[in-house]
Amino acid sequence: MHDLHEEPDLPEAVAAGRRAAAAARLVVAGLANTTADAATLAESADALERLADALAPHTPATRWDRPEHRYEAHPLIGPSNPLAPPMRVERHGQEAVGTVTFGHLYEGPKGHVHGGFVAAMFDIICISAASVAQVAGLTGTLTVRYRARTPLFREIRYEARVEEVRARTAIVSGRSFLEGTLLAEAEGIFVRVAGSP
Amino acid sequence: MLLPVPDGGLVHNLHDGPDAPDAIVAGRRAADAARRIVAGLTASGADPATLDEVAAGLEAIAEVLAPHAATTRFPATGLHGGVQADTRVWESHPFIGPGHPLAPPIRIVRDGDRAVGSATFGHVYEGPPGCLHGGIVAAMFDMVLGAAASFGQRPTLTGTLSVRYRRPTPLGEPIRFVGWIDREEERKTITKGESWCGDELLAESEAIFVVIDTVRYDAPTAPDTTPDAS
Repeated sequence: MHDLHEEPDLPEAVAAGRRAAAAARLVVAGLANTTADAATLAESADALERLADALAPHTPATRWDRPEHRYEAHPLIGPSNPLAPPMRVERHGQEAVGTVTFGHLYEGPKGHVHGGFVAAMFDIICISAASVAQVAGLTGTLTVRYRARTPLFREIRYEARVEEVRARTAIVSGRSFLEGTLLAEAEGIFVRVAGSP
Repeated sequence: MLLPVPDGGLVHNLHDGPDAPDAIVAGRRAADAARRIVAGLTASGADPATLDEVAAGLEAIAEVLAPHAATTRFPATGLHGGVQADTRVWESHPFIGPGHPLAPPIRIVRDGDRAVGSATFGHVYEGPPGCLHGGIVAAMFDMVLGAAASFGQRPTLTGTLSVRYRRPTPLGEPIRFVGWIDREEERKTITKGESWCGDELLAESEAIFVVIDTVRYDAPTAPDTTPDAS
């Protein structure tokens, strides 16, 4: 539901950004839990430093300078931000529905997603639901109840909907599931701010 | 049984200072370079030709690293949870791991009865313009309040996490997340926390951690939640 290009119909700049992000995710996956020896890692570090230096002049201070980067570079849903798993968010009627599969880069308890990422995904899915009700803005409060651990390598479904709209705020509830089994629940208050999207 | 963390020391079992093994030092240098690459690719100003060159370079490095990559940060045996777990568990942690390129990383030390996490965030973690994404704020509280809960010497998992956002968290400034145990009940450790930029309060948090049985925690997960069952 965010303004993102869909495959295969990608402008060249977006396609190149996603290819590079995909390659960066491979490197991150290779480094995060690495068992390589010091010599192999030192060689990789040298090569990575050269690439980092080449990119340095093109590194922005914000993802908001250009409209085309706004969601493409989002930390949780942006295909071109290597931090993002990324989660795919769709509008289904009045609900926002997110689907995401977490790899081992997001591991908290063994074989499971870190609770911090579980909470982070509720923030974005609840904001998405608030935007369906035209109250997109800033998070006021967010509460997450963890019912069961969220497994890695499985498709997780996030759902959120607006429960109540007041003058400047929306109360939004969300839930996450693995194949119909409830994993976690959330509730948040989102505040409309002047000039917010 | 968790061991007490010395005052002023890192809460988690991480190498700190000049005694780190060569592989850890080299891994951290590679992770630092990868962090700069992630930043350079996020909302990148590079043209498609430059991005393709970088992608080809990254793919070649990934190929070298792939045979040595594990798909869990935990050892096959031994203590899986708790701040005293194997150093590799924390080196590879998604929020505090210096060797994990997606971790800011946040540095968490013990200050008396408080856990204090410090980090400076760049635009990779950006939510509203110039500010940290609220989801990442919540994630940091989960981490720091969990560290505080460990001072209760009982292994726990997060049960409920609440965050109240007072003002946006700026990028590029050192942010402090402070957590402490508010009270302990038979099966729960209740913690509270605050985040600060200088002397400005940014957000407050409360988290209820549920005391777990480590034997059950370290046991394999239910068959229907393991990757090879899917």
